[in-house]
Amino acid sequence: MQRLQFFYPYKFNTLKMKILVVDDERDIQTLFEQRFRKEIREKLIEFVFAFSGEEALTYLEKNQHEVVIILSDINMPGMSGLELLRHIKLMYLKPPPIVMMITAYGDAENFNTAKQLGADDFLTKPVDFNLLKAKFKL
Amino acid sequence: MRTSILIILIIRFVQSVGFGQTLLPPVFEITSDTAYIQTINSSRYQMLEDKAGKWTINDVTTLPLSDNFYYRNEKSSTRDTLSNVYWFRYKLKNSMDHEAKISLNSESEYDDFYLLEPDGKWKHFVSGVFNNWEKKDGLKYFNCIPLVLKPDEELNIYQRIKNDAAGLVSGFAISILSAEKVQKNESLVVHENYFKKMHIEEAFVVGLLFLAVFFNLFFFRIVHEKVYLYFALFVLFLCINRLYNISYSFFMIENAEWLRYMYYLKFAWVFIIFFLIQFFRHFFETKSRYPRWDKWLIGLAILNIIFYIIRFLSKIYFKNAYSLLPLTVANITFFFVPLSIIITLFLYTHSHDKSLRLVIIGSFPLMIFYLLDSLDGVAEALHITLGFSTFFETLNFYFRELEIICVTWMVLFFSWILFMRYDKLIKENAQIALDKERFAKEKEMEKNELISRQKVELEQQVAERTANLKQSLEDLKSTQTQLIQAEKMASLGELTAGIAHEIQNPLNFVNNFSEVSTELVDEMNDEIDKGNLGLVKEIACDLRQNLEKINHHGKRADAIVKGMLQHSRTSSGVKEPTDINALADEYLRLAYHGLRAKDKTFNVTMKTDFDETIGKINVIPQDIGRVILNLITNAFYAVTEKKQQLAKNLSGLENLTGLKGYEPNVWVSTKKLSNSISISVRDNGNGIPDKVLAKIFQPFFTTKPSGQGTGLGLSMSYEIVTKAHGGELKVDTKEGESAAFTIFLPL
Repeated sequence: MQRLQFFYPYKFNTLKMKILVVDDERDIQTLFEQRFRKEIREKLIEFVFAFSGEEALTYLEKNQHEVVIILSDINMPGMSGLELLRHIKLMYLKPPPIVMMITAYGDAENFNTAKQLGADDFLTKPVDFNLLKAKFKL
Repeated sequence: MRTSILIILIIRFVQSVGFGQTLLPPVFEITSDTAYIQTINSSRYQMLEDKAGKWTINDVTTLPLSDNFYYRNEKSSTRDTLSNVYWFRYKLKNSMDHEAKISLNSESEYDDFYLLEPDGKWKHFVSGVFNNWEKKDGLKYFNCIPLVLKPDEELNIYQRIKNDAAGLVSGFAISILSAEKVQKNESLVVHENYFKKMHIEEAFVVGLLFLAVFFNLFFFRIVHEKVYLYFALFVLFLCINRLYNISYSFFMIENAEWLRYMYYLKFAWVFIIFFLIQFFRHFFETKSRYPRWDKWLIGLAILNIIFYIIRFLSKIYFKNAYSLLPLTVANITFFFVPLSIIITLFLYTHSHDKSLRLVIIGSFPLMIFYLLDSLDGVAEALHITLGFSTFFETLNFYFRELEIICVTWMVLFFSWILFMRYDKLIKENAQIALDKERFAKEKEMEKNELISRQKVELEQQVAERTANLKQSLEDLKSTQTQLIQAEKMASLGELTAGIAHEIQNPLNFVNNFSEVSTELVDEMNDEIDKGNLGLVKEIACDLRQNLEKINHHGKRADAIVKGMLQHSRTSSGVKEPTDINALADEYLRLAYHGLRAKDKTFNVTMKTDFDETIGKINVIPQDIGRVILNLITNAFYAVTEKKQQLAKNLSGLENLTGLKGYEPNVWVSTKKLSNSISISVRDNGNGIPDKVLAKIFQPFFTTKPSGQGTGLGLSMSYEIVTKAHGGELKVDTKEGESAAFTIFLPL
């Protein structure tokens, strides 16, 4: 499978980088909190969790400028990750957040659609946290 | 002396004056009484017309009538000769030295002879064909008055003739016959004032001939051979012809006047000739063997008919006159008939056919007789014209007897031959009929054989077909089983992706949690070294939580795998207490992910409403699970289809998300009712059109494009619910808006 190189448009603000994680699996919260427990404890990073696309959009509307990175699953009941991505891109958030899509199915169709919709990165499950940390430049 | 001579002369004169023209015609001198017939020359008799027919012998012998007699040859045109009654007078004298035995000949219908007796009185004799027997004198059959004249004796005769037709016929003549010869002929026919048994014999023969006629007609009716018909007709007309003689004798006695009609019976002769020739033509088949001779025979038959008719008519119109030409021609023409038949017989003498030889033997005497007879006829004609007699004259007297013998001989022979022929034909026909019957029987047998053979073939075919059908049935059964399996596998296929996802997620968690736990243990060790027990405890709590998570997700994966196995396994058919809500939830998820795996753009909002009070229900879990899966898959398909339909008009990015006011929804709910539970799957897709609603539970009915659905899902679901569980599967739909399938399971 083709692997794309993503280039982030700007450097992350190292202070209190707010990351929105969207996934219908609730355990993802525990996992992230444990994985990034040091970073959270050092207040380098702050995680916000949404368990559906709709929930994520509601949060984004209220907290427009806070979220820097959005990590979203694609396969979710109701609004899918791709739909969420489209909505986010339509919201013209300033500055536009980095949207990273995560999927269990690393297929070309999802990948192309995500790219077309303006996804900044594309990850496959299971998530390699070390790689993720590297991407966050932590 | 002188005076006496004078007186005599005077008396003679007076006498001559007294009779006026009483001068009788010159004497006819009889010089022979052995000649059969002697015609009196017309110069030897005188005649008188009696127009009124009322004169008596006294009238005509006295003046003035006695003077009116005249010689026939001095007849002038002024005289009217068209009378019915004539008077003749003539004088006979025996010029021989012995007694002359002669007889006066009557040729007319009514004859009266007046003979002058020595005493001056008139002796009266009656004769004529039409006078009755008792009234007649002399030889009654031949109508003759026999006389005996002494040598030199003279006799004055007055003869009155009467005919129905007026005028004298041209051939009329006054004649005398030999009394001995006529007497001899008369004695052959008449015996003691009555007819001899010859007539009875003849009547008997005629009767026999009639029998032959009927026999041959009967044969003809059966075998339809013209030979019989011609022979029968020949014999029939022969009978009619022969009746003339019998009837002649019969009517002569009391009804002599009727004899005039009997004459017409003679006309039968023309048919005798015709049918005789026809018979010979057909019997000998001359047409095919001797065509030219055959033509001659036909011509001969026709000529005979023509000339005989001419002769017959001439006889009728000219009464008893002999019109010589027609008679001679007819006789000569007839002469060729027996001659030709004899020649025909000779043509066939070399034949080996027994019946032909018999015909020759049978017909030969009659033909010879006819030949002689026709010669006689010719001779008779010549005799009259030329005035000489022939030896056939004598033959004439035996004519009838000879003819009867010949005819009987021939008819008997022919009847015998024809009977043999008939017998042969009947036997042949019987043989043919027998052959036909045998042929028919053989055919029938063949047919039966054919039928039985066909029956065997048919049975074989039926057996083969039955075997084929059985094979087909078995094939169908196995196909059905395979189809059911295929349906299962299809739903399994739909599940696979979902299952992969479902397994992948918990496995990811297991991996992730165990990884992070490893990190946490390291961290915990660090903190222990640092003596930061509060943090250590916190980490320990997390670790414990992680382990629980690992355990949870492990179990989750386990359950999925078990469910999958359960689904693919053939139904156990055993009911067991099952958590319907869990079952529904599980399959909902499986279905969702399955579809999701196939179609990445697929998305639907699933809403569940489970009644927690229903508890565990006794069902066959695999089967009910399959039903739920099927219903949910259908619901997903319906909403997806509707979404795609709506998206068709859209373009670009909008197409991908389909945000156009339609939100695909699938509801799954369970509910406890009074004595049953319901599982309902509802969607807001296009619904089901009324026209297909009745068919949806039929096997192989599908609205999906070919290759995408087996058409067995709903029918299998229906069977599972109704037959295996005694429940109900109901559908409630609103076209274009929604469809809801509800399973009712009895408690």
